[in-house]
Amino acid sequence: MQITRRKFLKGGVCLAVGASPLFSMAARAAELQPRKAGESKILVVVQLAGGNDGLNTVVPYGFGQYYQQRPNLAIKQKDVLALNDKIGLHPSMTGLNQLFKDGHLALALGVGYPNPNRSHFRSIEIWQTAEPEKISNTGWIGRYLDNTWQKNDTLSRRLFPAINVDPMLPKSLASDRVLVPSVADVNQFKFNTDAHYQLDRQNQIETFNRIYSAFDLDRPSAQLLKDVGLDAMQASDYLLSVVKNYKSTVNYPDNGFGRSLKFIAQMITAGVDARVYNISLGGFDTHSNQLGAQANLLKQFSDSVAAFQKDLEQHGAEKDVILLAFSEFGRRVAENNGRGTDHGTAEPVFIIGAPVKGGIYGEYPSLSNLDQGDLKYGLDFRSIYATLIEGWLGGDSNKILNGNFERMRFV
Amino acid sequence: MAKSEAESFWTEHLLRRAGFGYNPAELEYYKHRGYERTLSELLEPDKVDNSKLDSAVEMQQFDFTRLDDLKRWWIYRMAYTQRPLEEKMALFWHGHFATSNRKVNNPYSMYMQNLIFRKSGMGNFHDLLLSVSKDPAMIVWLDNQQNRKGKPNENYAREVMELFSLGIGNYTEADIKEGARAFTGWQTKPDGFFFNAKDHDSGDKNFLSERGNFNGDDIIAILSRKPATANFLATKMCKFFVADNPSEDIVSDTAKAYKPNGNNIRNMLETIFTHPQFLSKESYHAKIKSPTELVIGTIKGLQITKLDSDLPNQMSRMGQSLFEPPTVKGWDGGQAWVSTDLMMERFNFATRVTQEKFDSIKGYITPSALVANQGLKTTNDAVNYLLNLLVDNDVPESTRDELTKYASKDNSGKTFDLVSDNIDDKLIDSKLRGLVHIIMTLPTYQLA
Amino acid sequence: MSKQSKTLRSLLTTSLALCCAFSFVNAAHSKDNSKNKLPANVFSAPPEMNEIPIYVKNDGTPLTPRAADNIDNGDLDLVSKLPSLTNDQRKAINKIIQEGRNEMNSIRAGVKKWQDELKAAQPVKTGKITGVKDHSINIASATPDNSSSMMQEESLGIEEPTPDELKALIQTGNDRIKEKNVAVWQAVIAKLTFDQKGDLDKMKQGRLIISTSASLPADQALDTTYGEVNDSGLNKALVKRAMSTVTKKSLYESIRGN
Repeated sequence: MQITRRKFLKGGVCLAVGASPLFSMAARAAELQPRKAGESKILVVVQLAGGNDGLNTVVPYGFGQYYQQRPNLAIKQKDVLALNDKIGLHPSMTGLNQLFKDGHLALALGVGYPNPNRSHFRSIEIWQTAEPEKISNTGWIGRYLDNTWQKNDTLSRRLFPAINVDPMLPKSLASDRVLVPSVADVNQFKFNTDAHYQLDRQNQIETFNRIYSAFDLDRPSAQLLKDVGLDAMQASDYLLSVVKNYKSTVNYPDNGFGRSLKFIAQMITAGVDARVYNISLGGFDTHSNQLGAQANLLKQFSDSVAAFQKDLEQHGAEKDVILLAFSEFGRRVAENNGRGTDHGTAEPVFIIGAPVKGGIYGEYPSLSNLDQGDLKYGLDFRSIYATLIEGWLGGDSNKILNGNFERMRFV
Repeated sequence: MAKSEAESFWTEHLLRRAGFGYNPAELEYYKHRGYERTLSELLEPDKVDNSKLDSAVEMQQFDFTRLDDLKRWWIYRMAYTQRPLEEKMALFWHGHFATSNRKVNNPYSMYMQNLIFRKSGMGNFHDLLLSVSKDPAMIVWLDNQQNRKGKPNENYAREVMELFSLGIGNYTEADIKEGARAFTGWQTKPDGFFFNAKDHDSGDKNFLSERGNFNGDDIIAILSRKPATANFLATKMCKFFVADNPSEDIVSDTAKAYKPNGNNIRNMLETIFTHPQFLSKESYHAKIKSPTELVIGTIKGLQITKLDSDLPNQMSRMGQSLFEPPTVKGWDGGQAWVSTDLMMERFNFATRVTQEKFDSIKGYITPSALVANQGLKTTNDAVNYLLNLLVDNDVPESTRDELTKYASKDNSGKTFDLVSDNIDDKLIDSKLRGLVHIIMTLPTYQLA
Repeated sequence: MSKQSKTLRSLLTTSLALCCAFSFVNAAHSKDNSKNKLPANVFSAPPEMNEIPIYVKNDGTPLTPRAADNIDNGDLDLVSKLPSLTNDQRKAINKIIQEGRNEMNSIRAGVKKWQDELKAAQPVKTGKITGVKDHSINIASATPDNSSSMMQEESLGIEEPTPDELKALIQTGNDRIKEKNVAVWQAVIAKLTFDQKGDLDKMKQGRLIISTSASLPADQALDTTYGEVNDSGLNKALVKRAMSTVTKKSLYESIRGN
């Protein structure tokens, strides 16, 4: 069975050459052992979609130009959650502020890349593929997964090399070989049977399993379909059983993003062996009436991440997880006529977790030395990726990122 | 004129590939006509009366400014058209000229583009390529609006060669630059295509070893003449219609059928559908159905007339969101449709279709109606009938046995004959629904 | 075709030894129901294919034609992007757009009046209102096609010192909206917001927002935010009104002609 080139699509199991599927369902089930704490390094990638206004997120309250350029939008100094005597966090971000105090938040400032692109479509593609200069069909995480794929990976790692919790698979997870399933919630991944005939459910499932286990047909793709069908049932069972045992006393915010992070925490603490999780929070494209919208979103973000951290700690999993949050671009320095801001360039990036060496990395971009009204970047985002690949996940970052990028010290 | 079983067999194969499958009545009709006459009819859609579909579509009053409705419109057309190959080619061209509404952000103009695939999708490739190059959605998609004299944007020139005609390796970067110059000024306005002479670079250009003050029309004409284009199209079409790895023979024969003049698309199709490789064991059930083919084939095979308004989302979850191809390369297809979560979506689609839903319409299908009047005598008959209807009976014996076992016992383990014993209506209904559901989850059901 | 006919003929008639012989069920194709031992009420006649297929919603009811529901993602830009409008159509649309604008301006005025009433109606208790957080109230149901999760309005924690007063204020808002027949489509969310830890000064910041929520991609979602009546919401409403009078059918027909 050849391994064919996979592209950008919702994906699934990794096809190992020569892997023989286990016919015995019991034997397969036995292979699915939960991940033990401390056994792997996990990355949760959060995209703040729409272009988050960095200036009002990490507020340069110690710089006069900030108030000059934003008479209506600037966050008042007394409201800012100061990180030092020059910059601080948006008042909504109390959760992240605490994490900074605890030394678990690395704040990378002025992150971007040369010749910045201000189109959502292209810019997010650049961040996801780590290729500012050309169109790539694979994502940086996809290439990481391909780079670290092993023939004898355990069944659970095969089924869930990474998990996408968004409805659509992002290009960052597009790969040549490994496929990433999209599971927004466990029930979506469940094998459904007619709800009106509940008593027949087991019969159908058993029939399915028996048919599939014995399925032998001489057609080009029959074997593949059989293997993946069995894997699908297996993965579904595994996920359902694994999250059933999850208990937590942490209160997550009652919104979509909070629920998704909770779901990720469930999977991590219950022992699913995925190395990367992907999630996004949308709405940051604040061309008008920015203050309220951004406050709301940053609160969702900050509170949910704080709850997530707490949850990991409660389950003893905090040393296994780093969370990366970025946006496809920052926004312009001056406010516009609609009490909002337009697409810009450099931005702050958040790297959060117990394994992280907290602090401020990089310099706040100059507010006077601008590039046609936009911030000039100081830190290439690929340095952050390189650091996470080499220093955390474990992979060949030169190969994965097609280049040599400076290692940072946050992990 | 009685047709042999073998000929009927191949006619079904043709209908799966050149169309989206069949409902029992259609199948009878086409089998009666035989393979050659069926193929003739498929190849000349203009001669087939499609007014029944057109008036039914009109009655639905789809809103082409909404993406979800646009998707529903196309699903409706594919399911009920009398011109299957015309719609299948529209799907092929949609994947070939992959334009996504995620960037274009104008469902109505995506609709207009889609009409081109029907109008010009089976004639001369040059006409099709020209229409698409002037299509507003395409111009926006590949940034040609920004392609101006002195400040060229090479995106369209690159993709028209790499993805739409010659294929990679058959042109140079210099050709891209010169081609881009030729397309300068090809823009779009509310009224549609607009040639902005002010922005057009009318200077001399050197393109693929030819010289002249070419504009976009000239470039399209040149590209349409190139043998590389014939090869590229032939390869894509053979992959789409025949097998994931078509033989060199069928590809080169198909390429030979492409002459710059005449209905070269139709000629290629005819070559494909009469080729020994198409009519061989290696091609039978050799393709994995795309989500579109799966859904439409199901609607047709199960004679569904109440369509789930959520079908577009279900198709997206299976990996194919119409009008939103994931990249400029369209959908990879083939084995790319197969992964754990995508398969689970297919299985759950099957459940939605088969489950007993609401009193008013008894679900999307009435499985009992499927088997009524077929003269069935035993559970075995029922199983065989459904296997024949849904997967052309192409399953191992073990599958047949398990299905029969499933349909012969109730939850308490008591056994019966589904057809001949006097058993509860609800039990019959549940077993029949269960059978159809399980058959739809079989590997064979994913195959075309 | 004739050149290949001979080869084709031979291919078609050659019997193939495939791994599974297609053993057709012994289909008598009889229409005689008595052959069928299955009860008549379970086995009904096959659905008529002459029946016009329709789409149905989750509850089985038909998805009603949406010609009356107009441009969803519309704004004035979209109207101008529609290809090949005739001059008459353009004129008609522009006329309606102007009427819509006038209407919206009067709505704005009404909204402002309501805002003032709201401010005046604030319960004043020694100048402080404690524990009041953001309130979100859905007046109508959300759009049918909420594919983007950020469009789901979350209701945040609510602590209401005077629930009856709050109800009354909301009712007033609803009445105003009905009165002016705001032409927005299905999801209208009115937010009543008070600043936290309100004191009299901050209470003056309480504002009414009428904005629209529709099935837009996340990165184009309207900001359902604090502030005046949302401008982009206005545009969409205008287009909706505009398009409702120019029949879509006629518009599409004239466009299809090209």
